[in-house]
Amino acid sequence: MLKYFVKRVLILIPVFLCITVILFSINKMMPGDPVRAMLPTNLKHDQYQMAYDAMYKKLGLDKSMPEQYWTWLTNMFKGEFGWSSMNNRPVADVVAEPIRNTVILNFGVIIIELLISIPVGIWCAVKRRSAFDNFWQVFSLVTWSMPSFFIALCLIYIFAVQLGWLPFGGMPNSSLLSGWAYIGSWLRHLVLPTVVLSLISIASTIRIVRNAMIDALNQDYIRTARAKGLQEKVVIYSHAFRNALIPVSTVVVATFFSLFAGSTITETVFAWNGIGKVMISAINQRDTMLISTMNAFFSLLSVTAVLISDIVYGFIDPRIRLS
Amino acid sequence: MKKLLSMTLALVLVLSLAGTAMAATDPDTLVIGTPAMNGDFIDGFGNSAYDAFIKRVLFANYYSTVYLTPSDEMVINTQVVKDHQVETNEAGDKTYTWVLFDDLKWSDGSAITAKDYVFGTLYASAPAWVEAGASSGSVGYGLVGYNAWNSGDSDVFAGVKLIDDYTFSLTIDHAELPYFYEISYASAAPAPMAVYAPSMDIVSDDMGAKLVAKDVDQAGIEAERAPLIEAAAAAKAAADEAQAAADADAENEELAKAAEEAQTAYNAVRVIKDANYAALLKDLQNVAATERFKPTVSSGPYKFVSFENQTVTLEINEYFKGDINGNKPKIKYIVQKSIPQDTDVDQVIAGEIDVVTGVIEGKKIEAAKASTTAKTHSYFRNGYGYLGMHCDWGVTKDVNVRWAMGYLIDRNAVIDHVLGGYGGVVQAEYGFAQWMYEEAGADLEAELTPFNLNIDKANEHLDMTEWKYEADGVTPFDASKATADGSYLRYNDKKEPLVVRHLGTTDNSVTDIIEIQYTANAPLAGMKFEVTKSDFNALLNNFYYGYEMGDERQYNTFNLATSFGRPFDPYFASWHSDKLGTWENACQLGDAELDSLIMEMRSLEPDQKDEFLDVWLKYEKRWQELLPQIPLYSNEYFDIMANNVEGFNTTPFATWEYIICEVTKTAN
Repeated sequence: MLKYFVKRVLILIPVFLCITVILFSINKMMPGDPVRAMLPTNLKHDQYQMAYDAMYKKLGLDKSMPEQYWTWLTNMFKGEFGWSSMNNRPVADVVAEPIRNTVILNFGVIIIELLISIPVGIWCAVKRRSAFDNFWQVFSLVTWSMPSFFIALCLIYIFAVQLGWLPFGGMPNSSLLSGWAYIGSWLRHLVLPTVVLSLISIASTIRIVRNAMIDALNQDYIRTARAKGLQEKVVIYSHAFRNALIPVSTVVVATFFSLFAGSTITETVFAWNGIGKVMISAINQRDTMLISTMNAFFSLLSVTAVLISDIVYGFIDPRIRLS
Repeated sequence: MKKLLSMTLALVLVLSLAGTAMAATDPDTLVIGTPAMNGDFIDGFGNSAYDAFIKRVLFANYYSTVYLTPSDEMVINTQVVKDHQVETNEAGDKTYTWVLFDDLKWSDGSAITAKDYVFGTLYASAPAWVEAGASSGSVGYGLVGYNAWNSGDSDVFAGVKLIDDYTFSLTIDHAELPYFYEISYASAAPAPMAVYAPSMDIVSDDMGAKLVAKDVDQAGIEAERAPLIEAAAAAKAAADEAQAAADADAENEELAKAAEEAQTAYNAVRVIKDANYAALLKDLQNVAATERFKPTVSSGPYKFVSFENQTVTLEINEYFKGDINGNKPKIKYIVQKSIPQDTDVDQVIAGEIDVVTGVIEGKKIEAAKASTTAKTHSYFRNGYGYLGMHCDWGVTKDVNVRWAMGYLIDRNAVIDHVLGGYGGVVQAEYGFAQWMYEEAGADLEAELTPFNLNIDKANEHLDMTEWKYEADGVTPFDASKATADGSYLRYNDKKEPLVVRHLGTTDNSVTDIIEIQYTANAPLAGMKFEVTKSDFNALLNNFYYGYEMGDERQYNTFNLATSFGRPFDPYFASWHSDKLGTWENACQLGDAELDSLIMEMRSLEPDQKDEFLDVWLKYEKRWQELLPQIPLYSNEYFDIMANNVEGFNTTPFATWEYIICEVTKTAN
């Protein structure tokens, strides 16, 4: 197992480095000047030039491309993520609060998603073509097909505009609220974005679990298990579900690693101060350092997720490990 | 399991109800909704308009020696200035000596003294402030010695003097006088020196004021500076010499590169970085890293409490003396929060927030007007949206092409499409709320040519350009043959077609209507109109820096919007040819007659109001003749607020932070 693990890690290191080179190059190829984007337009020409030169140097743009890349990469591993041109402050300071907010939002989404989609997916497979299965099939198809902003606006219209039960969006304010009122305010602000993101993720996960289970339930060993007179519960959970675990585990691992990934559209519609919203602002304002750093971070998460999925596969199915 | 789930749901419900006490229902809290903020709350950092609201309510105008009133007048701030004298020396420099009241306080209760005012001018115009990552703006501009201080050539600001604890003086350079807005140069606002620069002190004598480090022996400072000054002088001489060589042989790329390198080398040593500079820089870097995000003291009616999750909370500054009329703030807390923009007005109507400002969309305004829970307050923007044209390059270099562009768009359709009808059109560079327009608007309108969609007029102007032929470059263009499909275009004698290339932004209703209008109308005058949509940064880059793009330059026209500067001085609005070849004169307009009018207008004495109006009329007329921009619309801004908010009387010159002391909120 150790050999298998080391081999996977050694493969993923050059993959990650290649990704960072590509990300850095793409960001550098983007049109526009990040220094100009961050300077105010009320400066006189010579003042502007002084401010421009100072900031150009501060951002390290006076160095060659390979130097910029190497500095960026090595600093990143030292925990220095560079300077955000959009906010004129360290990237780490800019993203800390939004990442926390995104994790809080996604945590609820993941819990709801896994709690609902796995049992529902299994049950749909077991009760294939029943009314229950048909309902969730239609539900997942419709929800998955609808753009998230449309679902968000519908929910805002119903629960905020018409009923007035929930806020339109935004974030809770700790300076004027405390204790239970503050926690309650968090929950109220979380409800609608959580529901939107949960609906979308539930819809896709149900279909994956259902398909994996149907494949497993059609196998000969299931027929054999049933012929042996095993209880249906044992057949489903001990035999079928364990064999359907590989695609399901991929989804579960990816889901946990998506904890840090913001949803640009949903966060924007609800003015949720998450990393997705920050990323879209960074792209609009040519904040190459922030974009590069966050994309590298997401790439690292993806690569780690792949590694963990591979290890999980090894545990689930020893044949993969041995091959 | 079921029991656990039920209990969890019940707990969530209870906690949610606990959080329903929304601040908007609290008469002690005014909740203002805005788009996202950057979180920079002191001047010098960032260019977010929503951060600027907070900057101004914490600092800025309230304790300035010169107060900008909501009706755009500049008056001496009688809450701050106890007495003042104005003296002119033999050279013509004019000194304003300000005597302050001794009861001005920072929000932490400490006294605001003349030292804070002098420091406010010194640090914000010092090169160390720029090196700390900030921008110096125009603080100190116009005063004697500004250039030497701002560029780092001198460690003394000659035009600023600290006289005693409550007296200081500012001397305006005679080269800047007379100036119609003279008093604006004598404006100074305090900065908390004890917080921003705890390791510094101010030394002031007849030579001016300077910032010195408390723990540096000033006796040795001149010895430290001498070699640095020598090195800077040598680098400057080398840079000048290299530039002269490059100018003498303009084709020689090596010389040009050497000149550039020499200039860079000079720039690196130009600012004399002695021990005082190092100490100031360290303090200001600390301001850039901390105070900027969380100001610990303020001078305005509110003090900073927090900025968290895109929500700023401010609390009444109990030490605030009052605005110019003596009004103190009445609402305990101000909360400015980022909210979803699609539903901003709905949130006011639903009672979730109290106010949204600057609404321009017709549908939202109609919804607010129809609501029983919200009301509106409107004013015209001190500025306009426009189609900017590069006057130094391409087809729009020809003034007749620019005029033809003016006749190829229905500006009322723009107002209907973009603003739902809530706006007006202006014919040149002015606004309906400007005092000049209020006094001489009728005369101005009589002088100017009102223009709107008129294909015949557009053809008349284009017939006066080089694009007056058919495709063969010989046969005169016949307007009657032009069709909407663009198959019959104008050409010049080099057989080049008349093509105007426009750069706008995506998801922008103004760009959309420009595309609709010109794509339909331009072909009828033999013009091809091509639209490219990009992001805002690319637009700014191409508009402001087109002059340095060389072969990569592509676009002739751009759609943006502007607000006029206060005070209105077209020299700083950058229509003067002094600014050619810099980003400041974005349209790259150079016209001797306009230059002369600009200088004539600004070179009047402050009491020559009638003369100013006469020149202003000529200036507007000439500006329209040159038409560097087509003013498309002047927005009517609407502030939408809950019915229980009173006194929210914003103006084109005063957004909420200027009038907050007059605002009250009652319980529902």
